[in-house]
Amino acid sequence: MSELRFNPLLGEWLATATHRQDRTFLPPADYCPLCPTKGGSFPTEVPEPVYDIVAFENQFPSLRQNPEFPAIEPDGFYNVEPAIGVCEVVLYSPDHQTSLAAEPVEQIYKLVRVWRHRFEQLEKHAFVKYVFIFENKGEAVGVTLHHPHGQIYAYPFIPPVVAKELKQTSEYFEENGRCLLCDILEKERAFAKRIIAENELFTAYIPFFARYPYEVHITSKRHIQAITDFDGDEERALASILKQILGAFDCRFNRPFPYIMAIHQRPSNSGPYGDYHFHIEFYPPMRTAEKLKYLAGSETGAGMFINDTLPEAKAAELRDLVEPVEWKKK
Amino acid sequence: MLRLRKTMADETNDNETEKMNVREITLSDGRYMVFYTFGDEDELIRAPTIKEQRKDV
Repeated sequence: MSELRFNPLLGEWLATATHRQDRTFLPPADYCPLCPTKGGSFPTEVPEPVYDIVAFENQFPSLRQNPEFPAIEPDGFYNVEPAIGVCEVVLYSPDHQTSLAAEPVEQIYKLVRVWRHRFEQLEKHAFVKYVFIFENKGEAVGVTLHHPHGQIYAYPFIPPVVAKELKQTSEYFEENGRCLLCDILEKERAFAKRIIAENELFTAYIPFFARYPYEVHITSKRHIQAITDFDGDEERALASILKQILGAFDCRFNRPFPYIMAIHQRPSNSGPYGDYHFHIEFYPPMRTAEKLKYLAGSETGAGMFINDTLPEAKAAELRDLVEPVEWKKK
Repeated sequence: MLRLRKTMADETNDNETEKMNVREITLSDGRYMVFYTFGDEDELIRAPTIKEQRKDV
C-alpha cells in the first residue's frame, strides 16, 4: 500500500509504502532475484539471459501507474493523494559480480543511451513531472540487492532538492542574466584545485560547497538541460568521465566505494527551464577508509551539513587516482 | 602542479553509433520489462566485463 502525504510544515510530499517492508533483503548471491533465470534453478525476476541492459518496473514500487486509493481520506487540512508514478530498476549487466566501475567504458556508454531512452519514454506520461535517474551503491547507503543496478523514479511532482536548485538557478539568472551552473563551472575550472577529471565536454570536480568529503559533481560544459539534449559525442564523453570517476572511487580505499549517484535534469512539465543545467552529483558516505559520514543532528534536524574535510584536499586525492580511458577499436 | 588526465572520448574509433535494439515484454504480474541490446543482435550479446576479460588473459 502506497500513498502520497503532504507535509505542510516543509511544503513537501512524501510517500508511505508499507509493502516495501517485505522486499528481498540482502539475499545470498545464489538467490539473487535480479540475476537471469538459469535452467533448473529458481525463477528470478529476469526470465531471459541475453541482454546488455534491462529496465523494468520495480516489484516493490513506492509509486505506480495505477495506484490504490489512499488508506486515509484527505480532511481539508491534511492532503493525501494516490501514489501515482513509475519506479524502474535498471540492471547494468547479467553478471552479478560486476559493478558500473568495473564495466568497460563501452558498457557505460550503452547505459547513458538507455538512460536517455528511459527518460524519453517516462516523460511521455501525462502524470510525470520529474524523471529522476539514480543509483544507490553499497550497503552503507542502504542497498538491499547487490546485483549491479540503478533506479529511475518518475514523480508526479518536482522533488524538493531539484525544486530548490530550480529556484536558485532561476533567481540567479534573473539577477545576473547568466546560468548559475555555467558560472560555478567557470569558477571551478579557473581555480582548478578542485577539478578531478575533464574532457572536451564534461568536467568532474568537488565543488567549493561540498557537503560530503568525496562529493563529486560532473557538469556538462555545454549549457543543456537534460540527457535528451546530448549529441553522440556527449554520450561518449559522459561515459568516459563516469568511468574515470568510478575507477578513482574504487581505488581510493582499494575496495568498492559506496555512493549515491543523482542525475539532475530539467523537469518534464512544460515550464521554462532554460536557465537550468544538466549535472550529476555523487554523495559517497565514506570520510576515511573505516569511517562513515553520518547525517546526524545538524544535518538531519537543522539541514546544515558539516564537512570534516576540505574539498581541495579530497579532490587532490581523487585526481591522483584518475586513469586514462581507452575505447576499444572496432 | 595539477595533473588532469583527459579521456579519449574525442578519439573514439569512429563516428558510427551502434544500433540500440529495444524489446519489451510483459511479466506475469503485468509489469513491463525492456531488454536493450546493441549492435547486430545475432553477433553481439554484450561487452565483456573486466572480470571476464581477465579470464582470457
